[in-house]
Amino acid sequence: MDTPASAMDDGPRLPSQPALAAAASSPSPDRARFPILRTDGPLIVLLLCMIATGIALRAYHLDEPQGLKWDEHHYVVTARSYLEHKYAWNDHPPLSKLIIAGFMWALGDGPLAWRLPSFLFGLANIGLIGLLTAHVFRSKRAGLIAAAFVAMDGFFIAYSRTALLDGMIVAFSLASMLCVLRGRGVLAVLMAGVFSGCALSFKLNGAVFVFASFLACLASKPLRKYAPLLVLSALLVFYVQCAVALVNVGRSGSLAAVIAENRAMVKNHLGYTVVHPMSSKWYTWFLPTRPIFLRRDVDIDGSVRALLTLGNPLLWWAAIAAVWTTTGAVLSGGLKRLFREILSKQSSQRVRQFWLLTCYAGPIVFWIPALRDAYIYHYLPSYAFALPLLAGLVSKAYAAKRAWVLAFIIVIFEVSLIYAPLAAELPIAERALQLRLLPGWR
Amino acid sequence: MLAGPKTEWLVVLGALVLGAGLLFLTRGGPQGGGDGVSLRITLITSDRHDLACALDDAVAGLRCAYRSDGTAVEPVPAADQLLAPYMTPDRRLLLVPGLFEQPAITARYDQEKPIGRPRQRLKRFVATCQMQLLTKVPQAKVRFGKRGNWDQVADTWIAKPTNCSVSD
Repeated sequence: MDTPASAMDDGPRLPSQPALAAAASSPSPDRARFPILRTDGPLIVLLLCMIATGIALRAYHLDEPQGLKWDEHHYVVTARSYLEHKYAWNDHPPLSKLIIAGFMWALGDGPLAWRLPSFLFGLANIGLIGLLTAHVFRSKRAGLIAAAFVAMDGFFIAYSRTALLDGMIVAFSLASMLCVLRGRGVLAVLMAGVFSGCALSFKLNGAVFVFASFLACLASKPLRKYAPLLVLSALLVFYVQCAVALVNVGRSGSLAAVIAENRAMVKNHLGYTVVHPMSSKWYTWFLPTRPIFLRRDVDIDGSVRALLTLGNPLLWWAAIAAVWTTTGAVLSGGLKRLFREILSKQSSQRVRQFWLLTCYAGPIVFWIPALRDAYIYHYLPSYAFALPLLAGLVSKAYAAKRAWVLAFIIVIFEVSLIYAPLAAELPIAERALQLRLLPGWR
Repeated sequence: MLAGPKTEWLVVLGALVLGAGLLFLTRGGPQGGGDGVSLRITLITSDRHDLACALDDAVAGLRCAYRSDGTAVEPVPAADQLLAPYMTPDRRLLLVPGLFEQPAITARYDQEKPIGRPRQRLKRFVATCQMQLLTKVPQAKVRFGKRGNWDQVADTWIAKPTNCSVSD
């Protein structure tokens, strides 16, 4: 390779004092080096095409079908009740339904209004994962690669096209971690609290991200003293959205009423005894063994419109490999050293990767002792924190094995396009659909 | 493997072209061309007079009885060119011209003429026809009773019937 391979790379390094002084008086080296179209143009164009394609696949006929798919009825029907100021039983905290109700109020009660929040949060996920990755690896190239991976991945596309909650939880959890890892003051802590509180206000398993953000805040020397504020602001958000939903339907919004409402909800969850045929154990998510068809409509001409909670399988498995590789790298210096680094003043890349690993593991760990049934889509938040790890590794490898890495990203792109009809509900013949699926996925 | 940015540009360009091919050419063709598909339609004999659709333009010479504003099309299309909405037993809608002009269905109609009989007394039957799928209309209106309301429907197939048979 005859081009400067490190043109976009600004991988891990500890700058010397003279270097820091020089940097202070000159433009940021990273900014000066990225993007350079002359040297990295092909990669940049490929990644931007992936992002553009991903956005187009999210937007394609977003208002179809006209009816509700999979669990959309849980949320749309409740949102409808909110618009009519009628009480509706909530399977999850009400924030998501309040947001959907807001769109229905503005755009009318139709499929576009139901799904537009998911679409917008889906777009936000592309940007947020890009920003988080760029920050963790101090590399805009890694950020762009991560954004392209998320943009093209079928799992994320599927959740940008349905009025379901998990893609929105991902956005808030990413925003929360981004605030904590980048922030240096009280405002960042408060923002992290609000965002993680929103994640909690979508589904109770969002509590994982309140906890992870709190731990990261507690470990950070400049933020440590504000850590209680994070929990308080998260709880305040949780209380306010519950109270608003209750007051909207003419009930009391008192603390006691909110606690009673949530106690009933938790009791209901713990009382689930029926095992849904599409549920799956947490340890099956790594293959995965049971992706779910959120939609599988056969048209009169025999073509199928399908929406499957399956990412690009290659990306899926590569992300898991990246998790293990990073775990090995993070632990390589021993737990003692890692612990010392976590608590040190300056956040190292190893520490930032540790927090990504924590956010990857958290949602899985949540479901290990869980008494109620779990589903593949509970893995989505974990997956969102695995892809930055993969992008970071890919970006580093680009410096040494540029051609191979470009080829790898191209293969990811092509495989994503093979699976795109199952994420963007493009018409596909039944036989072509079957050819894309392993036996257990059909 | 790759020799420099110029080669990389070519490879990326090739990847984009290949990607477009994978997205658009590997999904398999629809059925329904040529001999068409066999479809079942659920009917009662009064459907001959009660069902109607509204569409502004003719499609392959076929027309609904009404325009989208609800005014009747003049002159009234011939019976074998007049589109009407029908449902399959699994509730998929399609617009079909002259279904009751098919000999088997005409015969069934003659056995149980709806005149003077309430709808609910008529016996439901199923027509199985070979349908040539012509095109999909993005928007149309349909109604299933003379005094019924118009319902807006989207992406509805227009299908031409042949070789119909009837069963209960």
